[in-house]
Amino acid sequence: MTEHLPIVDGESAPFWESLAEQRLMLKWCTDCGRPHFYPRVFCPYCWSATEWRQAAGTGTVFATTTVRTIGLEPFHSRTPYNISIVELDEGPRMLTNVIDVDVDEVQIGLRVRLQAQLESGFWMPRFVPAGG
Amino acid sequence: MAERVVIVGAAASDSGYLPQRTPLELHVEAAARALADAGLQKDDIDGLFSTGDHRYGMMPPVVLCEYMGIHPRYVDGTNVGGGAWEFMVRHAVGALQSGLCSVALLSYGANSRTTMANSNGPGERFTPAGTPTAYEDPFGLTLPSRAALVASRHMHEFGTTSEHLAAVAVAMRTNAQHNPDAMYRKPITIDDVLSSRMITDPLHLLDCCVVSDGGGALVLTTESRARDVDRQPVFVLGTGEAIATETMAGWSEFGRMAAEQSGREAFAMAGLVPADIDTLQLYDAFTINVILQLEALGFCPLGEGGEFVADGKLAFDGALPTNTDGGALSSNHPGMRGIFLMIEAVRQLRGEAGVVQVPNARTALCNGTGGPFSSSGTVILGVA
Repeated sequence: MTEHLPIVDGESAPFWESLAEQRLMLKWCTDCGRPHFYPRVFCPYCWSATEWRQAAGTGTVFATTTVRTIGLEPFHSRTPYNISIVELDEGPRMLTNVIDVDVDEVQIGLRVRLQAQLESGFWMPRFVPAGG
Repeated sequence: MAERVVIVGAAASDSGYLPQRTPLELHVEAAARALADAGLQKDDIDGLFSTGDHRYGMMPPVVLCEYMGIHPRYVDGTNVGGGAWEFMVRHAVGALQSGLCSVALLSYGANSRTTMANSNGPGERFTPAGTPTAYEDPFGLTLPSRAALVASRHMHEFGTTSEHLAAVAVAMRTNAQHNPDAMYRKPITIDDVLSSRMITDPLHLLDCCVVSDGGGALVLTTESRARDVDRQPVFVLGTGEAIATETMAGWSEFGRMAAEQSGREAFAMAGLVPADIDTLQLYDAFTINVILQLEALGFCPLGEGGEFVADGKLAFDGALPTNTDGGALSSNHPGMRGIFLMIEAVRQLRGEAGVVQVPNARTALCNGTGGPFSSSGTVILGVA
């Protein structure tokens, strides 16, 4: 079952492909210098060109929930599972699953680090508690 | 000075679980009832403002014009989620005032309940992979979990509680008791909400809206044309619209919600402030959404929405009667509920709301939101 996985295009390929090496790539503006997420060819703040740089892969849980009800597979079989918005140390936020921890222990403020996980041949950028 | 624009017709189609009905027929049923309400004919329509979900394909206005057999000279198919209808009222005001059309129909129909009954339940993909949500949907993000993320943050920053959220659901059910078309009418308590099944923390089943089949329609025209119509005109006093983000990662935080921009502009246009509003119609897809809109529109200070609703003031007989039909939480939600906010506001302003009538209601504010906090349209209505 792979139809729930991202469709990769030219704009997003470096992001997804770097995850195989446990590297989180973000886009920075070559003019105003600000990073952003999700990755775009043009800076959303000033429309200048952007470039890929590696992020630290660490951040803090900004908002979080545990999904307990969903009809759609493969997610139904995973319930209960965490969904969090993680604020990366570089500033931008991204949506992810915090894994390898009891869902009830994921709280806002939890420090987390990237743990890309292989799923049906696709590396997904998930996070684990930084202390773990 | 531009001529004032009025709503002269407002009606809903049949509502509930209607497995034998199609979205298009519900659309026309609502439109026909709204036209009858206005005392106008099908051929009077020269402006169509309408859209639909993915079941209408890429060209909803084209599909609708063919099905309805109408040939408008002005068409608007703005689709920014469930609050698109508030955007369309604003657009209709511009088109009517500039003479690009003279009778504007807004109409809507959907059979989301039937579609859900025929699938494997809630949790259908909201947007396909390949859009920006390719960065979000593959993690198992559901529509309720988008609201839950925001609720978790509101609780963290402001101390909002599950009891506060539940108070919204209880007030909506209080209102729905008196609506024969509401899907759920049996009164509930705070404890009922808290003991209902957890869907996505902190949202319980009763923090989430119903899913229904149904449609709704509005007919708008200019004040001078309305003199020919045997119906008390409901004036559009002010409108505003704003766009935020599709992704949750891009969500802009409290204090910078789309509803702040749309509300500010609508109030400025109407020359009113929140204290002037007699009844509110808010988009209550989830209980937290009501608290966010109350704060963003200025009915209470930022962060105080939970405490604000705790005393039950949103019930029809409370200090701030809100969603007097029972809202999305108890009455109906076919997917793009914004049009029902204005249908209920018109009912209130005409004094036709029966048991839930707000005494001497002269002004109503409708705020439609779309997507996961993606867009907001505000419409302020009033009668002389």
